[in-house]
Amino acid sequence: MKQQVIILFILILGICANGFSQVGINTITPSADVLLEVNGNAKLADKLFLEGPGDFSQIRGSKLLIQKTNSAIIQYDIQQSKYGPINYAQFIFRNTAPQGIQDYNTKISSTDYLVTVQGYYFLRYSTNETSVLAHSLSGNDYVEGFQIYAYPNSSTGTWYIRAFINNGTFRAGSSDINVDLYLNLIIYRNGLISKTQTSVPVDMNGSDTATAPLPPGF
Amino acid sequence: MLVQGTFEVGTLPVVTNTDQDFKLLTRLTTPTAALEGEITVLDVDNLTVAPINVINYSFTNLQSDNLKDVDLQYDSEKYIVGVSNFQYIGDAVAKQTGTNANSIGTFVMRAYEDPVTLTWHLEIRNRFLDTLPGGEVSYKVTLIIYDKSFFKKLDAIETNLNGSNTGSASSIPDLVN
Repeated sequence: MKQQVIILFILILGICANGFSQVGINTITPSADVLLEVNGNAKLADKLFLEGPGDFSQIRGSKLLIQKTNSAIIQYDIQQSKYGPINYAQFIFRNTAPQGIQDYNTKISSTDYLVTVQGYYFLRYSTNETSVLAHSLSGNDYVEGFQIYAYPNSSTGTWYIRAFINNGTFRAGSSDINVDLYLNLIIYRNGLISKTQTSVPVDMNGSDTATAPLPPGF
Repeated sequence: MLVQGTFEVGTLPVVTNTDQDFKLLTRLTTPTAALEGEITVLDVDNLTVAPINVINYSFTNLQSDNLKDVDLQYDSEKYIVGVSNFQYIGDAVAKQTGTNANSIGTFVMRAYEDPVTLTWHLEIRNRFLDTLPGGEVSYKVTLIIYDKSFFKKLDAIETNLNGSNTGSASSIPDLVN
């Protein structure tokens, strides 16, 4: 039966320094290569200092450590966890209208996550052909910009996606066409390693060069 | 508790698929109260700069569609900058007449390290075409600022494709282990 103990390690280490070779708690045969062995769960009421934990130079064969809301320290196994610190998902929109996506509810909580679109491509619907044009409704003399982004909808509390050509359509030859849109979403878990910082507006004052203000702390 | 040697835990439970709102642990490498190696909870809500920082930028009052060079001032020794969530808002760029009448120009969006300022810069523009006179364009992007304490910048991988449109990397990053 496991026993939960509160240990005064500083005191014990002091005892060891005065002549004891090993100390066992709930064991009479502590390992020869350690000064202290606790056979059971341990609860530490205050801080933990590890002066010489060593370094691990590889990215495989180790797990991050996390503290649960009940203060228990456990291993962070991404395969078993509900989410990772950074999550990737490809959203595929089949048979999308020539006008693109004006509003798509991902149903991903904007309280818990940050969603960004970090890559995309599109193919012609049903044929997978790459010959898809971005056509301007103003005529063939113009090249329109595009908008492909995720934004939090305050009404639903979820992230939405927009992906479209400004004032234009997807087209093949002289006809508007439906497309398959592939968007790569990187989804960060809030409060773990990522944080939303205050927005930065930059007035270019009619110039093509500028220096943006640096957010505090950087 | 201070442990000067190694510290081993025989059985450490593993996260389950119902756990959430947990925090990462870190070990401080700077001494606190004359003691080294304090184990702390990484509480990003109380950090000024987190390992990953997500910041929305808007650029207005441009010269045509040209955001040629904006110094973002992020120290390239400390941070890695990525661009996401792009919005081009406003007038189209216009094709030219004459020899280049069919050209759609070259649209570029990139964050890059400036070797002179040693900071990250941003370029967003059609390098060859502009809007018609009086045209207005603004940009919105979400920049992802990664702290190099947690994210590693790998060396560039340069491959000569010898005029081909297929190939394989000349080397791979050492990410095997």
